[in-house]
Amino acid sequence: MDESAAAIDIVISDDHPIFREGLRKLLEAEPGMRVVGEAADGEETVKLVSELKPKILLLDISMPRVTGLEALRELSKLGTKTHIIVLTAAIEKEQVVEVLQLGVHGIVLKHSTLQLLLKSIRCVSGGQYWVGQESVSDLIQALRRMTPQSRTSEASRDFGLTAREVQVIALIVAGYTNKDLAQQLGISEHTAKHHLTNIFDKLGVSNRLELVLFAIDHHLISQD
Amino acid sequence: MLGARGGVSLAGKVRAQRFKLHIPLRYRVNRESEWRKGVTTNISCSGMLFRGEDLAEPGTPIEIRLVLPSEMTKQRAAEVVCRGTVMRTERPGSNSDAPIVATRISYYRFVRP
Repeated sequence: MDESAAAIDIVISDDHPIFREGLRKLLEAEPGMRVVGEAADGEETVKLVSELKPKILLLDISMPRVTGLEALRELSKLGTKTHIIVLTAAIEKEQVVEVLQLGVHGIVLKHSTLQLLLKSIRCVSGGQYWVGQESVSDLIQALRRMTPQSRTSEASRDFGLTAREVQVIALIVAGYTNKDLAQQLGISEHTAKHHLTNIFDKLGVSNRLELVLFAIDHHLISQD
Repeated sequence: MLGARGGVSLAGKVRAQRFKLHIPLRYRVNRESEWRKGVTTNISCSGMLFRGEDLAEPGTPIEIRLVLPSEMTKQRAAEVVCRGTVMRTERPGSNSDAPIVATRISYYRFVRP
């Protein structure tokens, strides 16, 4: 059997070059794994994954300029077949749900052991899902907040709003501009506008004031 | 459509959704210094009906500051500054009721505290 044909091709996406280099060496020392590319930001990640079509993308979601989350959204739109593992120092509870909704197969925190990362890569490349212990806890908490007991989540679910879109609506009700809410959520202004356009489409509103009135009337944002 | 100071001009806006919401507000007519209090009866992004303190002549310019609910956002309440025109006013049916003022909104902007 040709060993290279059986190897798991991996792209590493992280803004820290020393981390990338270290991880590359560790992965390449492992039989059956091959690092085929490295990206330092979201834009480069989308380009590399589209070109190289690796089996696995190890993606840090908090990178400067075009973030990993934005890359994830772009790759989700492109319908990539690459299995993505979010490899990050920290992830918010809401982000756990969001990244899974965007098609991520695995979430591994950077403080995990190498053995755990290797195990997750093998598991995900085999088509399974891998969510680290801390992320499972976050995931359960986030899912609990979406239970039918909450009129808010019921209402937002009725309109197909994501957790992130509900956050955006809350900030609009609080009077945030696109620039301010982008800063608050750690996303680009372009992404903020993209969220707003999606929200407008889902709710059938045509401007911010109508959105705010709709949100108050339909209890779209929570008090907790 | 963006207006001066980042506000939105609503010229040409049609078929706005109307909501039966009771939102507290302050208003003043003709750029007077005195602000009066009121509460909306129903509201859309292009106009509102509210109960205020006084009658106002149709055609009078009006500035309204809506106070958005802060408990929904865990932040200090934002305001929406609306400018427009009084369309009609109704005398209260009884002495205990406040006058009703119908206004058209032609411009609004959000103000954070």
